[in-house]
Amino acid sequence: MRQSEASRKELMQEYVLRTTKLTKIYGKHRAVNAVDMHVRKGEIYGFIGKNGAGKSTFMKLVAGLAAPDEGKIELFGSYDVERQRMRIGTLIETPGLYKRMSAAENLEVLRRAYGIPDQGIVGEMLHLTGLDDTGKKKAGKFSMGMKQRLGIAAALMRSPDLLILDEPINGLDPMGIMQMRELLVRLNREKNITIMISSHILGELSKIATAYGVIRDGELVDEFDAAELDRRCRRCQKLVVDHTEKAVNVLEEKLHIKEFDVPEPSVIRIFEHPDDVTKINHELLLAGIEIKESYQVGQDLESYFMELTGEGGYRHE
Amino acid sequence: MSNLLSAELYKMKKDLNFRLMAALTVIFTLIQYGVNAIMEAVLRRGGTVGEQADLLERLEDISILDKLHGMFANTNAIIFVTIFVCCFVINDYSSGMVTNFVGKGYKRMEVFLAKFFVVQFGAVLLYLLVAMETLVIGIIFHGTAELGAAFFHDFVSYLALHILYLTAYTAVIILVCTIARNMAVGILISILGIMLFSNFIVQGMDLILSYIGVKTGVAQYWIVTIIASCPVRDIPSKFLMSSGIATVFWLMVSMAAGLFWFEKRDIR
Repeated sequence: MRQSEASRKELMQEYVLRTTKLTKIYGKHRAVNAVDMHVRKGEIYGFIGKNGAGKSTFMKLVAGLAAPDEGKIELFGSYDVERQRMRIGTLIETPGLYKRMSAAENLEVLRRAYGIPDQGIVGEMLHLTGLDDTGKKKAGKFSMGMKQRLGIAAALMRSPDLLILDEPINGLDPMGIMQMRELLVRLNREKNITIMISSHILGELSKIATAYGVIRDGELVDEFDAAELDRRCRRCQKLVVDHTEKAVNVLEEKLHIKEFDVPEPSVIRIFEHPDDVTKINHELLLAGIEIKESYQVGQDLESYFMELTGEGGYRHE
Repeated sequence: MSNLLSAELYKMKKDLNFRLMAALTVIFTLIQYGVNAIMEAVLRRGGTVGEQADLLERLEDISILDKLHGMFANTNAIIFVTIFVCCFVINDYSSGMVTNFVGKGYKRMEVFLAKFFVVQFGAVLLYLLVAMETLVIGIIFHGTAELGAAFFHDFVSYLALHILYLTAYTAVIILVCTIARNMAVGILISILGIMLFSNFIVQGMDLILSYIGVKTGVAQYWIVTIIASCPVRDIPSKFLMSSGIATVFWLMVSMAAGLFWFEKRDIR
């Protein structure tokens, strides 16, 4: 009995965040609709969805900035979320900064608010986020990247176990994106912080995320880990032809291929039997179709994500 | 709660608006006395007969206490308080800093009350500053002739009463700003709606109600009317009583409403 209790507790502690049927309604619109999300300890959880899908609203519900209309939130194995929120650092939408204060002064406000006696924490956080040379420069004069890093420094002030970041690389230049990526990976690996991150730059997200959740119209449509994503982004045969409709007929009627799509006029991607390229080309040539290009590609992550979030083109299956 | 108070006090210490408003009160008080002094000088040069003599006499009769009344009752000092309160409260929403306090292990009530108390403290500081400036600059312009036990009794009583009224007025402005959460809207409603025109609105309401035979006298209990109508000397006990009750009412109602709003509304 005692053993099963212990193992149950261990299982519960595995999740840092778990939601059950979490719902937020604005007027008649269900911004977040019955979301069951699972974020495990140590993960970098990529939260994907197009604008207005409900990512920020969901994050605000978890962070306590908005109240859910239905459903439950479990943080670190506990439903006492108000207390457990002390263990969360958040950066949702724009970093909350006083523009007329320096980076150190902004963090000093939070040090006092959080009751952290160690005054050295301010310098420590500035160093961690690469802002230690900003001196008396006001936060209002910071670049976008510096503001985002200061926002992360603010979120890290209380050494959180879970970091919730909403579009932290929005508006950053390539160098800024790379620095942010390195910082997040470092925080995850060295400080063992679980990170939930939403981003529109999906290729960038796929470089660091170890698990994914996809939200569409307020509903969590899928959750999978990085290994599963690799499996899903499988290879395909890409053809550029002169008569797309005719080629589609050949694929369906003569070769009985069902898994293909037409992402652009004159381009066909065949997901079924991609190694059987000779047979496919032969049949198309016999039908009088000119094949301008024929090569194998793996479906890129960006288009896969687009498809998941409902932004992609039509796909036959 | 003490941590939040410490953070809010630090913010106020670093707040440029607070320092700017404090500096403006000095300039404004100097202008008030300066204009009087210039007018007196001009009138003296023009002669001391007829209307000019009456005007000069009236100007010379203006005491330090009258100046303080002018500062407090004629919205001169209160405009600085209003701008400070609006900026301090709404800045947390416009900067997004409020998201660093809410949902961080503190109850929303604590977050609201910490700000409420510190804003009240800042407003009282500004009022004390205005009073001290009026006194010091008054001594420079008028000398110490009028200073005596009676003067200080009236001065301190009047100041204490206005600080009491100020807490209720500040609570109303905090409520407006907590609901508005937008700098332009908050300042507009606070200055136009509350500070300048609310008197006319409640008096108009009284007038309309009296036409239909309902005598309410709501205007005399409205905090802005009380601030404007508080006598400088020999304050009647009836006024003290009614204004005291009205002040407590507006303070408590505004605080409770602000707290309720802050508790229930999402942070967007």
